[in-house]
Amino acid sequence: MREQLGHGEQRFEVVSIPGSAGQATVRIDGTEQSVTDLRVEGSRLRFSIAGQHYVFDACVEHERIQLKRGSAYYSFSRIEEGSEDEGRADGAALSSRMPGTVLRTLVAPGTAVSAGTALVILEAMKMEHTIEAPQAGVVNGYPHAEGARVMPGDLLVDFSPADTAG
Amino acid sequence: MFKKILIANRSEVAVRIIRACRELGIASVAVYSEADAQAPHVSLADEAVCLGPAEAAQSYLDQRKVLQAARDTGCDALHPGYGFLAENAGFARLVTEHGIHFIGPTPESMDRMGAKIPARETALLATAPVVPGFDRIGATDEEYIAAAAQIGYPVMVKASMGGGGKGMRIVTGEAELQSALDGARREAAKAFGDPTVFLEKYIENPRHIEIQILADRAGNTLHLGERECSVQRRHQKIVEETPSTAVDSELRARMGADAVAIARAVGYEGAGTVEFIMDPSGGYYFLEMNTRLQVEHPVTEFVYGIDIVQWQIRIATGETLPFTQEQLSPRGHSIECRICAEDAASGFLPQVGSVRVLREPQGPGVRLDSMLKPGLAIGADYDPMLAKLIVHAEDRAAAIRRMSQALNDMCLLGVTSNLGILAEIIAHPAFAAGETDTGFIARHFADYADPQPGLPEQLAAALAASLLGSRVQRGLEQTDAASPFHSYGNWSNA
Repeated sequence: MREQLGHGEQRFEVVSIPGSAGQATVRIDGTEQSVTDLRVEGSRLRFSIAGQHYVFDACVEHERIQLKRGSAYYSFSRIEEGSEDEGRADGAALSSRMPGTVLRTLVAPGTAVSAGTALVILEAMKMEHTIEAPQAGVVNGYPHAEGARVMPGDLLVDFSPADTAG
Repeated sequence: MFKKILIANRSEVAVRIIRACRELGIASVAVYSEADAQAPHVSLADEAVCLGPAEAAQSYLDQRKVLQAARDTGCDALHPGYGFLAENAGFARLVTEHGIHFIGPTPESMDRMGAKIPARETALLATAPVVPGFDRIGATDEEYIAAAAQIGYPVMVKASMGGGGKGMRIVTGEAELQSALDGARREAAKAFGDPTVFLEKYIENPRHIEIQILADRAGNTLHLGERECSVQRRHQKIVEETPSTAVDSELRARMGADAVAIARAVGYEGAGTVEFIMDPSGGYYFLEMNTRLQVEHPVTEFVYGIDIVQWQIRIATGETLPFTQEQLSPRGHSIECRICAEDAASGFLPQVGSVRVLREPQGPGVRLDSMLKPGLAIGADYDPMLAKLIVHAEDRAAAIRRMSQALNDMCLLGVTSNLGILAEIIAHPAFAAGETDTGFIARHFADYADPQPGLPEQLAAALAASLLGSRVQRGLEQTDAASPFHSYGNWSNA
C-alpha cells in the first residue's frame, strides 16, 4: 500500500510491501529499505535494519501515528491525497488548538492590523490564551462570537493577509 | 479515628488520599462528575457519588452538592486534596457547621493565608522577608500605576486569591499595566471568584523554594525541609526536587524557622507549605502559603520517610506528632516530574485524547501517583496533569539517573504528553549542574520542537500505518485499547 506521511512540515511517501514472516520492504521517497526480524507484541514494534535492532511503541488512531523510542516521542500524520491546503499555516495560527471559550474579540472587523496584534482571547482550562495576527493583514470578522464554545481546529478569525487583502 | 472520609477531589490526588485512608483503616467516598465516571478514583473508593455535569462549577466546585454527598454517605470527615475547594475557607466552615471534620487548617488560618494580601501582612508580622510590592485593597488604577513606577518595572500583577499561574501577568512598562490589570482581574474573577489583584516587584528568574510544614493541635509546628520547584512553564511547576542544590543545612534551618514562625502566627494546623522565592545571591522572600496538601508532597515523603497525607488525617483526629525537629533529617534525594496532557512543541498547549498505550515504570525508589488507565478519555474540562512520577535515590546524580530510566520505561500513547520534554529536561547538563531557576525552560527549551525522526522512525511509522490495516479500516473505532494493532492484515506476528 502507498501513502503519504507527514511529520511537521516534512512529507514523505511510503510504500509498504508485505513480505514473508518477519520480512518487509518499505520504499521511502523512492528508496527501498529492507526490514527484518519484524515482530509485533501488543503495542511494541520490533525490527532490524542492516543488523541494527530497534524497538518502538506505536499507536495508530485515525490520521495520527504516535511512536516512542527510548524516551523520545514522535507524532506522524497520514495525509489524504489532495488535502494539502495552501492557507494551512495561517489557518492553523488563527484556529483554536484546544477546546475552549471565546472570551474577547479585540479588534473591530475591517481593521488592518500588524503582525503580532492580539485578536482574540481564548479561555481554555481556566487560562487565557491570546491569538495573534500571524502577519500583517485585515480582520474580516469572527466566525465565533464572544462566549461561544469552540473545538480544536475551529477558525477563530476570518483574516486576509496583507498581500492578498482588499 | 474517623470512620469514613469523603474525598472532595478527582485525579491522582483522590487516588493518593484513598490509599492513605486504606492504610489507616478508614472507609473512603469518592465524588465525581459525569466526565469522570470511568476515572480510577471512582472505582477505587469504597463508595462513589456522582455530583453532576463536567463543568466544575456544577460538580467539584459545587459546595452544596459536595456537602450533601458527605452527609448522604455518613462521612465524619472530608479531605479536600488540592485545587477545587481545598483553600476555600467558606467551604471549610460550611462542612464544619454540619458536623463533618474538614481535614486542613481552621477556616481562620485559611482566611489569613489563603488570600495573598493578608498573607504578606502575616509574614511581615512574623519578621519573614517579603517581596517589595503594593497590596492596598480598593486602590484605584491610578494608584496602581503610581505604585508600579515606585516599585520599578518589571512588576508582577497577581491575583490575591490566585495560584497556579492564573490571574498573573508580568509587566515590563507602564504601557502594558492597564491591560495586565484588566486581564488578571478577569482571569482571577473567573478562576477564584475574586478580582482583587496586587503588585509585586518582579524578581527575574528566581529559584522557587518552599518549606513543608506539619503542625499538630498541641502546638508542635515542624518543618520537613525544602522543595525546589524552579523548573516551570506557564508559571506552573513541572519538575520538583528535594533537597535543593541552592540550600545547605544552615539555610534550610533559617528558611525552616521563618516558615514555622509564619505558620505559628496563624495558629496553623495540619500540612501546609510556605513558598519563598530566592534571588541569585541567595536572598529569599516570602511568596505565599498554601494551606493544603501540595502536588509535589511525595518528594518530601521520600526523603523524610513520612506519609504526609496520613499525618494530615491523624492530626485532624487530634494526634500529636511523635517526633521533634531535631529528629527529622532528610535522607537521599528525590525528584518529581509532572506528567501533563500538553504539547511542549506548541507552547505547552493542553491536549485531549485517550489512553491507548500505557506502561508504568517500576523498580526500587520509583513511585507513580496517577489517574491513568488504559482506555481513559482525557478531556479538556480539568487541569491537564495526569500523573506524577517520583524517584528516590542516595544522591542527586543517582536520582537523575533513576528518573531518566523511569521516563524511558514509561510509555503513554494516545494523548500527547510532556514525557518527551521531561526526559530532555532531566538529561540536560544545566539540570545536572543544578542551574535551575524559573527561567530554565525559556533559556534551554524556548524553541522546543519534537525530535526529528530518522530512518528508523520513518520506517516504524510506515510499518505502524500498514499494520493497522487498510485505509478503509482506518476510521474504525478501536475497541481493544491494549492492542493498537488489533487488525494488522498480512503481517505476521512471528
